[in-house]
Amino acid sequence: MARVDPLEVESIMKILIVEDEALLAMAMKDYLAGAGHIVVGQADDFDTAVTLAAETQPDLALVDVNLVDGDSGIEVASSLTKQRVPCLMVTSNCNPMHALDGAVGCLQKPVSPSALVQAVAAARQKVRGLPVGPVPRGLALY
Amino acid sequence: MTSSFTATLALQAAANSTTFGGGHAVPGLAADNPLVALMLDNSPDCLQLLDLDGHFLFMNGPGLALLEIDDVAPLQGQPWARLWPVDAAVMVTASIEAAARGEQTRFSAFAPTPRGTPKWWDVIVSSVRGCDGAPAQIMCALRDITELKQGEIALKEALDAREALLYEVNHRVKNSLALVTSLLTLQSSHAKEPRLKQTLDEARSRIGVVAQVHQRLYQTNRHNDVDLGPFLADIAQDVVGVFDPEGRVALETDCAPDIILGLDKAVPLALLTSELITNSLKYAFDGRQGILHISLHRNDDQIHLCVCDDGPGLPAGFSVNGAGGLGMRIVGALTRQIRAQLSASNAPGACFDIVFPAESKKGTVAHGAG
Repeated sequence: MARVDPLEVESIMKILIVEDEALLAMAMKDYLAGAGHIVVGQADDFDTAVTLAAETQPDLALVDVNLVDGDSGIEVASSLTKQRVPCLMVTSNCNPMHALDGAVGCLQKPVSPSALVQAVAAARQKVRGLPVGPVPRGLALY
Repeated sequence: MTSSFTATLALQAAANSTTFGGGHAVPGLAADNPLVALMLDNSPDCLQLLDLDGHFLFMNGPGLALLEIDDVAPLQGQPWARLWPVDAAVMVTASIEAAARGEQTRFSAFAPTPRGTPKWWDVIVSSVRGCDGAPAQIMCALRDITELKQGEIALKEALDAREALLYEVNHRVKNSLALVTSLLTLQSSHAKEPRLKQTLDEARSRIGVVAQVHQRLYQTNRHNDVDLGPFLADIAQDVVGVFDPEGRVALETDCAPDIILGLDKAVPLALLTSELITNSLKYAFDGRQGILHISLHRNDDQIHLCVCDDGPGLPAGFSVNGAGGLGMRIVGALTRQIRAQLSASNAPGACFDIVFPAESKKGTVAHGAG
């Protein structure tokens, strides 16, 4: 049986994607899966996001601000944070005020594969209270 | 009691007064009636009295202040119409003639004060009847609506600026998408490996569809919704034109009119329709002539979209959920985004059927006569 590197296992995250544009969600899922992460679910509205978070207990949620039918990603982040699910906002309009709703940071769209993977790694370090290395362009940690 | 009604009573009292000819502007008017004087002095409007020929007789104190007039004496006996700008002359003259017949008229007009302060007025002109019931004088109640008008003008200017900005943004988006398409075309023309070239061509085509969707929405001047049938028919025509420039495939469209859909549904539908058409053009015809049929209909609270071809049909075991190509993954993702049901069958060519509710879960998406 092949030995699994404990550090590699440690770096793999269970991630929930909360995004109302299906093609963006699909692309993010491909980027994350390519880096070895596990996308445990996709949601495009508040109710689905909260339900999936409770069911899957992700290590991190990537949350868009504007969701389907006017639902707010900021409210999702606030709710998920209370469920102890860290949230990284992924939006075209990052705002430090998102920190007030519990977001650990914000990644500016459009998102490249490498920037997304690096942002997830930085968010993980931040959540675990570990030193955060260089952050990709477009990422702000709060 | 409205101020204009109050003013009517006051002016009627003033007109019936035997001491007519006094008061604030015309000394003696209503001087023997303190209540009338009080009402005239407390009106927020400019109240004027004319004779039946439209000559100025009287103006209350607040009217003098609103018009920034210190001395009313030069106005005495002047034709009221001459006190207005030429642009308002027709309305003013007509209102005097109507009031002399016992009718009431209302108009709004611009007239600066004698000191040049620009002002807009809402004017009611009516007759003041004498003891015999016949029109005896003409009452004019002028309300200063300058703030309201300035607000309307500012709002119109803001809307015009917004339209100009929207036009500019749309134009830039269109140019940017055209630039992206051109770059991909260049990249494709330099690709030597066939598989890479095909991938770049497909990417260029998808960006092209996004550009076409944007262009069509931008041309319609509708920013929130779209008439889905003609919209999809146009997009289909464009896609077929790109992938079948020789015109071997005949496009048949049967799209019901008046299926109005919000952009949150219409744009994903346009993109997934484009993917299905591209799929047919890639696999159904193999260089031969054929028919691609697109239909859109509404049945009760559901909308049905079908994309069918007359090719050899889908391969055995094909499943919309199990298809692994990027095109079908895109179709699946967009279908879920709009809460639609996707099914595929051979009839005998490949036929994709998309059914979605005519209303969103919050009830504001599709409507229309269909």
